[in-house]
Amino acid sequence: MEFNILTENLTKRYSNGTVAVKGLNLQVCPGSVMGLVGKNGSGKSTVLRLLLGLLKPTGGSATILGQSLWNAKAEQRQEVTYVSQEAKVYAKWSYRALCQYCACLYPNWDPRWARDLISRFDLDPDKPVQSMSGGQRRKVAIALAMAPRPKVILLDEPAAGLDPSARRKLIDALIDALSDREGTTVLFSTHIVSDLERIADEITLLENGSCAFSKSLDDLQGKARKVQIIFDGQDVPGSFEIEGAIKVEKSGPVYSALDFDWSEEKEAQLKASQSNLRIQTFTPNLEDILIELFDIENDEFSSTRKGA
Amino acid sequence: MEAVDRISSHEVTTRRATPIKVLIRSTYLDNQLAFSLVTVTWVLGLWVFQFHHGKLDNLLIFGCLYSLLIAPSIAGSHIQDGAEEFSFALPFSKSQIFWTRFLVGFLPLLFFIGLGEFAIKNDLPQKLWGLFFDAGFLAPTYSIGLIENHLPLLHALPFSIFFFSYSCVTLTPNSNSTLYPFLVSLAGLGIIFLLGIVLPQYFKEISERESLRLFRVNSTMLIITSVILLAAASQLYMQKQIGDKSKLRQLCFIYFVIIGLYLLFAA
Repeated sequence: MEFNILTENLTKRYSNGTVAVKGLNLQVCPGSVMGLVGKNGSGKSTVLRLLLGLLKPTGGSATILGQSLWNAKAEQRQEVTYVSQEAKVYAKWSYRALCQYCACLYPNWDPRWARDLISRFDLDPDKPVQSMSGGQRRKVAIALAMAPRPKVILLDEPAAGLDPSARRKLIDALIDALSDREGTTVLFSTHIVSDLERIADEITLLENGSCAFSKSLDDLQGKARKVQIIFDGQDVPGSFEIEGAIKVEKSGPVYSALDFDWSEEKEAQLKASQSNLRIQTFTPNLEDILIELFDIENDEFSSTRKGA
Repeated sequence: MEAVDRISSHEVTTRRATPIKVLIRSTYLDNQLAFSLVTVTWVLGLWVFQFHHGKLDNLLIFGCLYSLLIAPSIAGSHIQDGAEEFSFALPFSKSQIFWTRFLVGFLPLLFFIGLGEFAIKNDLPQKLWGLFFDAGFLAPTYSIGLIENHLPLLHALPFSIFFFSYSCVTLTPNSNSTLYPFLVSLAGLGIIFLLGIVLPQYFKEISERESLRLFRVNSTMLIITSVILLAAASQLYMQKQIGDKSKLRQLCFIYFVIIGLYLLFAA
């Protein structure tokens, strides 16, 4: 199968010895949207920069549309656009000037779409970027990344610093971009769960530079169960194993855990093993799931994942 | 909305431009003020106020000022805006960015010095103004001064300042530190100039003929050194990563090697 974005054993070690990305394998199919989540410093921005060729991998490979963009020729970059975390563009220029500039560089530049985006974002096209607010600058950067109608868009926390209304417009614009041209692939990092819920097909959790978890949104939301096991009476065990479950926590007589592979058989097995317990299951929302996942130690997670 | 509507028509007219032309135009626009300033200085100094009086010394001063102003500005404007990541993400190769910006800054310097030299040697400003005024206001032409006897320096010093500054500033890792590499480049150039040209004359009495020879040889050496440094910087720039300090360090190491060689030569 062809992947528009592919990393194989991708590793990045900085000159000060910090390993920002460690043996990362990512695969994003044409036309799909992957959300990268993880704590601050987990390597999200580094992964995007490595993919775009702004950083050189120290190990493995990072390719977009089958090519590494490190020291790529101009033509190889025409189908890929990127918005950095700071979303900085040429400060002295206006959106109009930037559009004129970018229109010459991208073969699929869509002037109507550029115009549409700027009116959606409610920006003055003649105002220099340096006199705009942080949120407005970000909108300019995002519009410039979408107007070329690229095959691949990389966005580093695109909605950070935007007000809720602007964020909604951004997501709507992204959805329009995806529906207008088949095969547009988006990889974006975010901390905003509602954005993930609206547009992501797949979610990858980064932990200390490696992939702790990668699942489709449907799998994540459809199969995840928050399980509570309540022990009646005084006979509460000091520890309790739930096979395949993540992060088993004890609070008084109650053990709670997150399980991506919960089934009636499992419930029956647990009930058979202990006589004095009751089991309750809930369907957690995405935010609950991610918060649970963020707190997982890598080793703990990988061992439970193997079990699952 | 009317303003927004105009965007598309602008884009249609400029779409035919090649990326290199776009890069040239953008580099010029980003440094428009600095370019305007040096052009006005050149026109006023050479063609209007006649500061030269036939000497080339002022052209040397102009060339050095040009390099001090334009080279760091061209090399560092995007870095200082924090927009280098944006530049690298656009469909340009790094070599296109490096050499286009360099040429946008360097070719006008060649033009200004070349035409200035030609005009002064042929007394063009005097002849031109003589067509309109003959009131004894204009000073007579005479040809004395440092440069008249040390002509290679007219090219060597401004070019070296430009090459050195551009090489160092373009490898600046982030927006906080463009001044530091610029000062490092000037310090390095100053040491080389001191070792090659000033000190030999200070410690040893030499004849005027020997002095001329010293200037000629060292000016050539300065140009060669600058070209080597620029070539090294271009290679390092191809490997430049966002926020990467190591490339500037490597260029500084090459600096030290060159200064070491000069010291050896001077000894």
